[in-house]
Amino acid sequence: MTAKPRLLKSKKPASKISRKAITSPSDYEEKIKDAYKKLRKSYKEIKDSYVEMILRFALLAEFRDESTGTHLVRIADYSTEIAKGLTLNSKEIYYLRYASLMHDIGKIIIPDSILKKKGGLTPAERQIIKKHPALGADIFKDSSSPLLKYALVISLTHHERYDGTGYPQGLRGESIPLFGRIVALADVFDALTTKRSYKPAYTFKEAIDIIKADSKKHFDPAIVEIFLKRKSKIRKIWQATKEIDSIIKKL
Amino acid sequence: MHITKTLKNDVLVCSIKGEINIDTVNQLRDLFTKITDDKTSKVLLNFSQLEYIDSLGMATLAKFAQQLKANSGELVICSMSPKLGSIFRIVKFGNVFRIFDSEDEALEKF
Repeated sequence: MTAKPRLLKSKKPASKISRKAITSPSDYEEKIKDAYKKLRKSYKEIKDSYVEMILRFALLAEFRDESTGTHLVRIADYSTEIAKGLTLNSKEIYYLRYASLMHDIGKIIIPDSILKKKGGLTPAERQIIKKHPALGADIFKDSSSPLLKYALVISLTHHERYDGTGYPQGLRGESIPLFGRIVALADVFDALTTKRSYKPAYTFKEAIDIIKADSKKHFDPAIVEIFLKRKSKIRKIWQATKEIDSIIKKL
Repeated sequence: MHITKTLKNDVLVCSIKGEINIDTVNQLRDLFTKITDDKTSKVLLNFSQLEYIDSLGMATLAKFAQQLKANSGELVICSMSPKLGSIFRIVKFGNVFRIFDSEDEALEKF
């Protein structure tokens, strides 16, 4: 927002760039430190631009959806809490937090007539909806960015089930990538606690009980265990987004 | 998370560095309690060094903005990175706060 686009900045002619004479080892040290600082800054800028792109994709999906935007933030926060419980490192948590926002990105390719249809879907329509994980994966294929690679994995595998009855690949157990297993639980928990046109919102306790009952069937039991251990933090996230929604609704 | 406070005219400018998340949000709550006790009504949050804000942080901001508004004050935000700006847009936070590109602009339009 504040930074001017790089391409619009005029570059100093090479002849005007000051080249301080290096006269002592401490000068070298200073130059190396300076170069390292600049490199770190550039690396952060590149990393942030990938995240920004992911967020703008998420925004694109949200424009189409009249519901509240807190859904995506909840998925990111629930997933982050699970990751902390699994003691993933800060880099992995960072990738998971942002890549999880892309779990349903494939839905932008599903027509409104199916995605927003009120009442039941026909079997053929249901099959089209079930294509969204693979469609999302297609968006991110062949990327060399770790963040986009994780976005692909999450999109493709968040509807797999631990017992092998999920889709699109019917993967079983730990052959489902960890990030897919984490987001699967976060996404279902969020769906359970959210009101939809075809169902009321389950209470926090009811949703927790359903997750518990589905351990080893839909979800990885190790992830369920972590989720239950961090229940009070999960409740705080759930409560916070309800507060945000009610404030936004009032405006 | 690190908070620096500066009073500029009648506006309390709070610069926040690091992450506002489930583990640090109490620092933000304490800051807002102190501001309420001091009866400060114009608050500007400078987010130029804020790396991330989670749902608990966002709820805390939104509630405090409402509280200030009810007392004829305002919570304004400036210098957010495009990354955070996008998160705020996803959450549809546009009507909750006024957001400015720079601290100077925010202070001028307060």
